[in-house]
Amino acid sequence: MTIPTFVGIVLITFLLIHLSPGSPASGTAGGFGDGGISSVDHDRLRTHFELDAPLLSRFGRWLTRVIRFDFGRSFADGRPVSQRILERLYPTLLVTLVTIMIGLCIVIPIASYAALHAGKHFDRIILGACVGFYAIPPYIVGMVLILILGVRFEWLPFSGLTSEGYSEMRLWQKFVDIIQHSVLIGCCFLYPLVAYLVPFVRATMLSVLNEDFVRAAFARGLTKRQVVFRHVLPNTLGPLLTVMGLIVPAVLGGSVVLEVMFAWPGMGRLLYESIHDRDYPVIMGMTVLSAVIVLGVTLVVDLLHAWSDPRVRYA
Amino acid sequence: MKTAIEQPLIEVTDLSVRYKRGQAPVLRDVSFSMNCGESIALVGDSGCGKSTLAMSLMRLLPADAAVRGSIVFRGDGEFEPMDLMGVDERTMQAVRGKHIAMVFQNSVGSLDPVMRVGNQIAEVVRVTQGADRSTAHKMAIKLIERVGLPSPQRLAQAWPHELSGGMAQRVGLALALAGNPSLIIADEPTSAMDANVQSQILEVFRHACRQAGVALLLITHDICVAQALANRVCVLDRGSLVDNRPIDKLDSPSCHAATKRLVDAARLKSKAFTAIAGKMV
Repeated sequence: MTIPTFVGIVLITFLLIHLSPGSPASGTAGGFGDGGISSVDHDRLRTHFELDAPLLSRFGRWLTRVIRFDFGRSFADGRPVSQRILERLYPTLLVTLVTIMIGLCIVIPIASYAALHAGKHFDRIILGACVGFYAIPPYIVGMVLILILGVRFEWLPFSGLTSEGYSEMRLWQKFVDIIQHSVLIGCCFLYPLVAYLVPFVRATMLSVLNEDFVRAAFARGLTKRQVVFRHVLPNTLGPLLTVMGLIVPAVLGGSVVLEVMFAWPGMGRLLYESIHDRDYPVIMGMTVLSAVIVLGVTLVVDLLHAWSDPRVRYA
Repeated sequence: MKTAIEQPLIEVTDLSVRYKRGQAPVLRDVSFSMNCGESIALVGDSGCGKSTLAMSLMRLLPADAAVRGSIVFRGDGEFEPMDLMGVDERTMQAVRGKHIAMVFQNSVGSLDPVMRVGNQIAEVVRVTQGADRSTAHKMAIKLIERVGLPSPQRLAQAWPHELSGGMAQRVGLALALAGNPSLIIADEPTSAMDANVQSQILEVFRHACRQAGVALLLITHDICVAQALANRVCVLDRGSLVDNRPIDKLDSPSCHAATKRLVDAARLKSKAFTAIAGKMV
């Protein structure tokens, strides 16, 4: 199932970018500022980038290279695409994965408490807060955070991954520096995630609490704590995993605006720059890589789901 | 065998339950008592309050239910008699599973789907008897054997969804026996099974309870099931206990109208089956 999906994504990516108007040759032409380049140069550029070959043969050649993870060289600076993407991969993965980990650590206790005290004040306040926060777009919060914490009080850096003079720092200083730079952008990733997941986990848990086996567990003399930790939480895990499989790609996709805003050297900003430059190889490489990540996450989620729920294992 | 044999094991006095203010009570002044090792069938139509009675004995009713009356539980003489209505939740947790256990109608649904059968039984052994992990596991295997399930070692490794309804109900009984209780409340334990499996399970219940000297409060709508297991019948009709008599005195003329109705219904059912069977030949 994973392989045909992958080929389909590769094909759509290719067609979408190659059938859209504009080409890197014309893009470069506008960049000289002297009214464009001569048509001879334009043709030479087209030949150089193989833009004059038939669409199908270009696709065939590209596909064989994709399988070897060779996306060619960037039109913008001539370096290999895989290298450009790799150096941008880790800041994005850093902020995404750490956010998701912290998010889960916040979500599960809050949601459990709310579910166990459904209808009480805490539950209502939390639910209201989640709806409220989820309704505010992250870029608004990002701007407010930058203005207040970054510009007005100068508490935290808000641009880039590292400070100047990073290379001279000692190891722990580097660590602190990266954390300081990650706080604001991390918060912008974190709060919508928490606001989305808390009501979901709470609702899942409420339905598990109404299951017969929970009542039966109480009837067997287990304490509330034992019932929650041994029976309710493990049964909440399955649906949560499924949703995580949908969320990880969404968090990666949502990174474009935030990464541009915080000048974060991640994949989102690379995509933004490449689209701006009509840097075909980079865009296509990014899309394929995103597809690989999404498919990989789905696969991991499926495996984890099978591990956590024996009913899935034999289905 | 038990020291408190002259005194009832559990004595329910004037138990009333009301779910919402202003609504008619689900149970009205129900009083009965049970002796050690006795098995009583609590019969009645759907909605007459049988399950509510079971849940109030376990103190597992929803928080908004208003309960009155007293439930004096003497147990097997290990402790002073106590009124279950008056004790705190911690004491009640120690009673559940260890002194009063329960078997449910939804046999598969009463098992945690993501925990192996053996671990679930071992968990109850550990909670109720404070056994360590390996002892609890050995006892779980013994319990599976005791309820007549084949290859207990393999079954302990099975997941609940791999069990049939009958197998799951045997596991349910094993879970109830795991705490070594003096009273088992079985709420419609065989209502979701076909007649053949039903009689097998009833036989297992009778055997296990007699062997362990456990009192059985069997909740059912089916007089035939009651006749198979119980030596006394209590009839609930719209929240009130209207009849309480030995199982062999069901055709006496002093029976309450509700009792007669249930007995007639059982007769009618078996007659109808015979008639259908006759036509099919």
